[in-house]
Amino acid sequence: MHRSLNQSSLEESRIRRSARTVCEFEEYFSCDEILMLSERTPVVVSKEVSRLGFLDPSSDEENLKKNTKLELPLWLAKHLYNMYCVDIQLPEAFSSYSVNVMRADSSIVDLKRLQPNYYQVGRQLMALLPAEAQQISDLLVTTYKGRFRKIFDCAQNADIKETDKVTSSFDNEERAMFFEGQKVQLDLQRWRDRSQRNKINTADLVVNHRKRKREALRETNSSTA
Amino acid sequence: MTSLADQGLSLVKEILRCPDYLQPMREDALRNIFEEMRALNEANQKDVRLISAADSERSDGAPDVHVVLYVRHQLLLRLRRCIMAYLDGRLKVIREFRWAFGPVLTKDLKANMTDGEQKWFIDYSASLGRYMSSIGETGVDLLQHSKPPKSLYVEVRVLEDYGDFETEDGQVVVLAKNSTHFLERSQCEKLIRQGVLEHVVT
Repeated sequence: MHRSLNQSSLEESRIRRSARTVCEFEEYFSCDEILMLSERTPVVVSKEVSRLGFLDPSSDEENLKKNTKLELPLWLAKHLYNMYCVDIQLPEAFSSYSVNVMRADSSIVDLKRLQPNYYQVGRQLMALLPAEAQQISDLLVTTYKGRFRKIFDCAQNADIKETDKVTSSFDNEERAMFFEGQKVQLDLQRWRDRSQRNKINTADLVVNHRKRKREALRETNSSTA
Repeated sequence: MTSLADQGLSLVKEILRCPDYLQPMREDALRNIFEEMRALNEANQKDVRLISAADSERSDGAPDVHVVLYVRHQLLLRLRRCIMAYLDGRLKVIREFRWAFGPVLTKDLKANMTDGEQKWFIDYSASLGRYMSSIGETGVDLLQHSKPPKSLYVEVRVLEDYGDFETEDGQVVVLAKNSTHFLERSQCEKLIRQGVLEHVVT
């Protein structure tokens, strides 16, 4: 509905959108960003496109028909959207059903299953869909507010052995935040312990490498025995 | 073609899975991706020729291939980005090797590095050395003094047989496994970082 009929505003929105496509490359080499842009996004084809039939695995046709529903990686959906070939739909995680769930209690939602890069994808969608931007932004804030306390609490107090269990429902950014908090907590503990404070430690990389080597040795020994 | 750069994505996922360990280079996957990219490029070249031929004849009969051209081009760019991120991720791990293991790598560390990466490691080592010697008048060893020193000498226990170690004043100390020594802090800090010695604190 935001694609207005008159030409000048169409032009304007195109300029605005292409400006956004440029800022996509905040970090060209970032593996996290590549992963985030590969998340599936539902789209509806808005005009018949010749010879793009290979995008739709359920049909053998050469052309992509109008009104076909597809799930494309976000990066491709974005480019096709800029070519006025598809309309981007809101993924399940941002639907009105999810809005209600998040409002009720977002801390129990399994974000990892729903949308592993929830906040980042949300921000991308905000840029792509100006009409829904406000709604998505409110939703992101609501979700974050409801979940932050739990993440904070877990990072400070959860047993290190339970890390996997605790973080299993976190989105990737939340997980990074959790580990940051946990690291600070451990550093503080180490600092409080007077005897450990001035100790020179072996580099983590070396320690991990040793462990791997020992594992490998044990495996070869057990296989020969 | 329907895979939509999934192979590139699997390389990127591998980097994310083990951020501090170097896996063997995935030569096969890379070769497949290059093959895919070549196919995409050829398809694009063919279509471009088609369009320019139709343009010169001024006929409207040419099929509308602009979108498919664009999509293939974006696929190419995407694959390139995945490969670049993969190689960059590997180099980051190798760079950490320099800081943790020192300038000389053992055989098992080198095993998963390609020739190019080994050369990169040597170059990196050399330029790090040049940089460290260029600071101040006498140069600064950045690997030294990771923590503020509290004492001149530290007590260390040897974790693995290292052999003779010559201190700066010319004394030779034999670092045999499980022996303890009282050494000058500045001289043994690197060996502690590399896991040869353990700092004993009381």
